[in-house]
Amino acid sequence: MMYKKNLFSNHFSRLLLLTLIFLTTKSAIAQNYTISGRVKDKSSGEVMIGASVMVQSSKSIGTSTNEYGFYSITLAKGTYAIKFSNVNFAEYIDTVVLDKNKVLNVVLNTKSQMNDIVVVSRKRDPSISKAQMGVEKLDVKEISKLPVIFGEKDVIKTLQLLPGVKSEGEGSSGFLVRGGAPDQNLILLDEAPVYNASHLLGFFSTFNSDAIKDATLIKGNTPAQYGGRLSSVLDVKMNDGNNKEFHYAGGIGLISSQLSAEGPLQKGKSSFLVTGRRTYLDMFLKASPQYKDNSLYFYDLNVKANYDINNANRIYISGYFGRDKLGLADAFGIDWGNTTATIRWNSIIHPKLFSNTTFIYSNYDYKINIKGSSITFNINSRIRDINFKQDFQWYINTKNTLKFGVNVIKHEITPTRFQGDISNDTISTKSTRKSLESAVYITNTYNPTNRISIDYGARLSIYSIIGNGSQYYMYKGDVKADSITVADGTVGKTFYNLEPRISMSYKLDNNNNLKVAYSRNTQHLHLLSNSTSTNPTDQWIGNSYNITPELADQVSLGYFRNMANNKYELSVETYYKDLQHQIDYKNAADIITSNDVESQLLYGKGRAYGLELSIKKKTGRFTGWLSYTLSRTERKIDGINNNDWYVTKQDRTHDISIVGTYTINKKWSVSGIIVYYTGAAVTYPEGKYNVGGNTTFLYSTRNGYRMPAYHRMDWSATYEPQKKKKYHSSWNFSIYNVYGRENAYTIKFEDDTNNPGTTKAVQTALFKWVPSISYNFKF
Amino acid sequence: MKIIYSTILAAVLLLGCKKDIKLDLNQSASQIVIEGIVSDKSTTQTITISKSVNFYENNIYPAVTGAVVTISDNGATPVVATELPGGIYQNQGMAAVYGHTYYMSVTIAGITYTAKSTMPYPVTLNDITFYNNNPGAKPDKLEYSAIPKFDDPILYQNSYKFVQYDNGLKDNTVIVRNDNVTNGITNEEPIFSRDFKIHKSDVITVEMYCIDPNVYHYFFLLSTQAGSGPGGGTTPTNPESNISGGVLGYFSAQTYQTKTVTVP
Repeated sequence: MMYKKNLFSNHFSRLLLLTLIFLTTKSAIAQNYTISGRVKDKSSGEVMIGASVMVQSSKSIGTSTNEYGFYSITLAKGTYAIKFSNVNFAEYIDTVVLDKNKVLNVVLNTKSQMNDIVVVSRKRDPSISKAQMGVEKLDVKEISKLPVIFGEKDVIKTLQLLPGVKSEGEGSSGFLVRGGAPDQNLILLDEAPVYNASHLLGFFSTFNSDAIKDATLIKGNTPAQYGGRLSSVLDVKMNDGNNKEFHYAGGIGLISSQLSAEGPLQKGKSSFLVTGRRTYLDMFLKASPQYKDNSLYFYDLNVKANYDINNANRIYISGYFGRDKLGLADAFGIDWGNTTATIRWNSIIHPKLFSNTTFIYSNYDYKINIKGSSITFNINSRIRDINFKQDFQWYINTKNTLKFGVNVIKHEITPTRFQGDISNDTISTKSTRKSLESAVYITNTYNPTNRISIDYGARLSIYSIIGNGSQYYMYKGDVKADSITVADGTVGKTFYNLEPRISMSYKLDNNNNLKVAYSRNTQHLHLLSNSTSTNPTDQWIGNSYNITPELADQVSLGYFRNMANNKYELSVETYYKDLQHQIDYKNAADIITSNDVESQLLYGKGRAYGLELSIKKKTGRFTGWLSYTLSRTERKIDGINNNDWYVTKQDRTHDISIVGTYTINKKWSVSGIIVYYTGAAVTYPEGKYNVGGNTTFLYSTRNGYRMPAYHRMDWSATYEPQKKKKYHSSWNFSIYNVYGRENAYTIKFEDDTNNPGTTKAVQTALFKWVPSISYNFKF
Repeated sequence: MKIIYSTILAAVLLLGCKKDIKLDLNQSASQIVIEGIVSDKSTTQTITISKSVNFYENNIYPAVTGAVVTISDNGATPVVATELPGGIYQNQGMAAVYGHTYYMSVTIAGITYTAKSTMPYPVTLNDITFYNNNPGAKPDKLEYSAIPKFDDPILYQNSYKFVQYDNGLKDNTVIVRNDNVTNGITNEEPIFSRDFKIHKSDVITVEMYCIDPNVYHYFFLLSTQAGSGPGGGTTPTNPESNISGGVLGYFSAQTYQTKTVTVP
């Protein structure tokens, strides 16, 4: 265990040093007092994320609540009017005589919707003058009105309508950010990484909207507290549960239903939330004699509880458990799923210092069972993490907010292996690899004037291979060149990467802002996929003696404008991303049965650049947005495409989304979505030849062609009958792909049986007009 | 696994619809295709040489004539094959020997292409049995997959290629298998072929070829070409030939067996 101690104390001493430097330089300010506290929703007791806290006298001084509803402002002695506000909530102003440090916990009331119907579809950026760039926040309550396939509202599918975010394919809950691969998104559910965020071959995401409070996507220029993935961070927070009274909610749809219960454990002090969801597609299969022995379903369970120990300390426990099962009679079955558990302890150590300590367990595995008449075996793989995080937020003064922390993750990855009645010991005994991924970070938000805001900081990420007594092989091309045995529990190779991050905002005037940002991200875990779409059987692999950390350097530049008294918001962002140490499979890679998958890999570099435009209408009866992305993503891998640059499958030149919701009256609202994007880059045959009497196709250079352009329109209508006492319900009717566009899902090439001696291309489309109804209730 | 997985996907997506489309494809430069086979079933070795054509042309592949083709058995003096009409080159009177390496050399317009392949030891195809794909269905709706029964030898790196016929109709799917995880055990794995439906009372013929690992690699890549686009499949590439010099095709020394069985 010495290695752990060493690594840890090494990190810790650096951290301590950094902290001390800041403490000594900033502690000379006197005669100032701090006002701090939490902002909560009055009706549910849920803490509010991102609520605005402004000092009335001076418009430039203010803050917003953090992810745990905490705020802290330090001001000179005096009397202040402080305004607390949040979207869809009535604002609250309190006058504070600041002659000592004060705690002010505030509750906000839901805005009563009297004559004036105000709907906000995308959460208002608390202030366009924040330095952070490429941040998209979703209000989960409001996305429920948008049409979605199968009527199953989904955070990720709504994200796909934002600039710079693309869908992996028709109906898919996989998403691609600024040309990144699906595994380059860090997906967090209550701080726990989720390794596979999709259900049922990708048509559903693992996020049950009923359990979710807030979702934030950061496209690339992530602040230093996040790390480990190149493209983006999707930070999803679960609801805490109502600590005032019990509530039950549910939804019944064509494909799945969900139920949730929440309430106080001790009134006002603690609460719980339980949410479950299950699909019942398999019930339809049961009805058909041909498929009755087959199974096909998934379920999710979200649980959370929190407890206020006292004013300064709060504990949260949350968990997620989800599983998919597919089976063909008893001959073949596959099941996969994620489990995460998080324990967090919030502590207000000092009115200026907020601490959060987190312990996380995260697991993803899959298993394929195969049964023959005399042999039975399975193919399985797993990734399991134990994760410790300590984060501090130090509200030094009105000009500086410092965040710093440390994170240590122990990964255990079991590569794809066969077990059961098989003979190849090399494959069946592939051992679980261990590694330690750790990081220390420090980042400061500095507002030197009310026009300038700068976030600057760095993250040092360290990845160490921890031995398990087995061998690591090194390859030169195909050939095993060398090997090394790392003894059990000792540290093998260690990778150090320093990731500087900086973003700056300059306010031209009250309505116009310019932003610029640079960041470096490192990725130590890689998802290997030889498929053109993400499969549950894609496997994760860590850095090794062949694989070095993936690196991305991103520069972005943006212009933001509020128009017509904040009714409209315009944003223009451009980015350039340089990628190093990208990984791909070589041609004809044998990924499942090869003895060591590392022998099947190739390495290279990538680049991605683009322009993102977005216009939002934020208030009024009609709300919505238009987003447009112009982009290019390329790779150059030694051993692919004659070592020339090629566009990746994530590349889509144009991508347009139009989203609108119109509130007709208190009961009815209608929404529509239009999506258009350039077809995915694919490899088509240009010629053909004869092998063994079969037509064999001669393919073009990699991804040299495009699928036909993708477009569709969806409609939905939401009916909310008048609330009866506590009972609130809504009906949602939607049609996916209204005009029945046959969007190409696959294009195949085959002999034309109608015209023997010729060949043809056949396109398969998945969904034409998918109507759905869902009913949601809450009491 | 991929096939089973995508079969489920196909079953789930009952709403999917297919149509023929016309694509705007570039012209491709015509390339030489060499298919050379040394088989244990005959003392005649046949090498076919043709050229590739564009995708939207008819499947008429121009024969390459005037090539000089030689075959050598385990390093013995090469013998020159006789040219027949239609780009076919044959050598007669050479009996294949298991374990021997055969060398092929083809010279076309002054450029020489060479290859070698080792004749594997034969593995006996004992029987063909059938796997019921959907046991719950009505008897006339039952669909089967053939299971070639053979005992894989312990000797590592056995590779196989199969061709199946249903009532004389050939399945064009490329089917190859190796013993990387099933070394030394009786084969139980059915031949899953998506568009090939076997029903009760059909007459099924299965041809089994033992091939060398390089040829397996070639056909394995060919088998991954099916499917293109975000809906599945790997990105297709042209398989690397085991013939040097930049041509399409392969050279294979292979064993041959066949069995015909009626689905019970």
